[in-house]
Amino acid sequence: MSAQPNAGAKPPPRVGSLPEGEPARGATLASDAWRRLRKNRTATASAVVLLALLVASILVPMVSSYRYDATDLALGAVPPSWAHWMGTDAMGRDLLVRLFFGGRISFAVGLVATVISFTIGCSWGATAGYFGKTVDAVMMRIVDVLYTFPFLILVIVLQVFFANQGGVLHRAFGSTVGVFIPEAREPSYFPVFQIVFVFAALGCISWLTMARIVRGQVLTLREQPFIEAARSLGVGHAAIIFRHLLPNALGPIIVYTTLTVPEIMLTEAFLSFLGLGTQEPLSSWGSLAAAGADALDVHPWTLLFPAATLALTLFAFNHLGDGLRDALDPQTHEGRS
Amino acid sequence: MIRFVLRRIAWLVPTLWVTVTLVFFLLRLAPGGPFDGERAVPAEALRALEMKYHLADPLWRQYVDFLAGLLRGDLGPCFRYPGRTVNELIAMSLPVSMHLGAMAMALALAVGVPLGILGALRHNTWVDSASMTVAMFGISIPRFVLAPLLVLVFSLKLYWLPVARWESWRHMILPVLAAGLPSSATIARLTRGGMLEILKSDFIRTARAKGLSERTIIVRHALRGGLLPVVSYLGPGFSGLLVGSLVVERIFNIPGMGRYFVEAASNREYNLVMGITLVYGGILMTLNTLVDVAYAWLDPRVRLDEK
Repeated sequence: MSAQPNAGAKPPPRVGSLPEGEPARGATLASDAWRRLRKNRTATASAVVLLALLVASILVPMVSSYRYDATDLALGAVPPSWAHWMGTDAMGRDLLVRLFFGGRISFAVGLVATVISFTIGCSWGATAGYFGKTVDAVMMRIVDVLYTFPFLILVIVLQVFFANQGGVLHRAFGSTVGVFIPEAREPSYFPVFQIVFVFAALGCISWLTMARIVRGQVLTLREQPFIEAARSLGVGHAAIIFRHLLPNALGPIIVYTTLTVPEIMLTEAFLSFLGLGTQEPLSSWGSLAAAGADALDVHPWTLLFPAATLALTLFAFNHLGDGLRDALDPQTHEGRS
Repeated sequence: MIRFVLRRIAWLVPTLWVTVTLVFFLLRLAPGGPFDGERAVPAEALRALEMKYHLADPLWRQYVDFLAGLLRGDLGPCFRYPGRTVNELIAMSLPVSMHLGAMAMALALAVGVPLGILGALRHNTWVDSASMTVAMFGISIPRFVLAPLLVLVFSLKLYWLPVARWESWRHMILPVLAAGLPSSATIARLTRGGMLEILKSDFIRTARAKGLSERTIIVRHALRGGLLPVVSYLGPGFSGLLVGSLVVERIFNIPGMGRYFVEAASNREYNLVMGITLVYGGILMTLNTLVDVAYAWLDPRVRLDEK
């Protein structure tokens, strides 16, 4: 957010008495937004909750005495107790550890797919908006056509047909990743390959809206004097797009990115529920909730804990996105609102 | 306006054709075939089966045959359900899915729009925050969690409603709730956003200055523009409902199209997958076109952009 070509060009306003230790700075969009975001208590709480969940997902499987895939068939499913805070599933696996292990996968899917969608969407939208005319027409027409695809269905088809053990993609995954991680060639690594496939597939379906948003922003920005100035100084196309246009379009991009994460997590959960996402013995919040939904009447806790965690996370991401929208879009603070 | 509509319709056919072609070749290129299940089929029988269903033909031949069948409206036979055609299977399951989807959409609109209007009219009061918190919960709870919870409470604990199946109206209540409520949350948020923006605009101020009653202002003037975001959501929303019904149909054991789809994809049921993709794609694209037309009708600025 620090790259604000037009904001940085203005001399900072002189204020008589600044608080001690604080450097004299103008109110940039970023600092303004940050202040507004911190004042929004729901958004701050959401950020804290998400951070806590993320840290717990990393730490709990490391420090717990149980392993996420250690079964105890003699024990079976027991309700929450001192030994197992969230109880165990039908195979006697500790639900707390499985939940936070699943958190790693759910967060990873959400974040990685969002990065993919962010990268494709931003480059696509910015290129279309910046060059305009025929390039714009062709690129946006492609987006329009892709929009009408029943994409989730394509993902299911791809998943069922291509992400199979010993298939072409699986072998390719084994030989490329195998260079860095030797175990990737083992058949037992197959579930991991499947998750990677989910990442990629979900990233590839969610960049369309991002492309539209970025294009709209760039269309209005590119007529501004500072872009003209950059162009007359002989700055290249790529540099104008990535150094000047995109940083200034960052507000809506950040908001939409924040809202993409929960959407992706929800889609991963949906795929896992259909048996197409995360596979045993790995776990994600979606696969845990799906397993719990099957055993709802006998051991309800196996549904309630994962479902509540998933809902809490989505709730927090959505609130954070809303908070960011309010913070980054000064227009919402005008008039009656 | 007519030219606009015609142009949108003209785009339908090529888009659908691209989708269908892409899915067709994806399916055929994928490893495995419809007959390599758990039980190994003898080589002789396999060859006979492949001959019967023309699976041994060269790919381009199969593709031409498929397109020719499509033009005649014939989607071909089912591999797993012998004696059944894809047309029959879709004719059987599509009405169930559409019924569920339409009722869920009606519920979503009936709950979401008033909730959103209420939020906008009582902006920044406790009514607003309460209705938006409810809506946020609705967005954050996935259908496959909502559905079992509804079953747990209303069927297994209270014994009010049946657990599954699709027979009388009593069977329909829980699936429609599970499918519709998450969408109603999205609609409520969209309505509120759209209404808030419209209520700030100049023509509403003019209407107020003329001394029109609050009721007339809302119903006659604000709703038309305020509901635009909802209108543009209807297309993707309905397709979302159809995809979401994959889950709901599975949980409630409803004989709709979604239930067949996952099964068909895992069994390499080429024809059935193609048929269902075609139907879903067709519904989605038709709805998107209708939405665009409705949008152009509600908001004259869109038509001006098209020139």
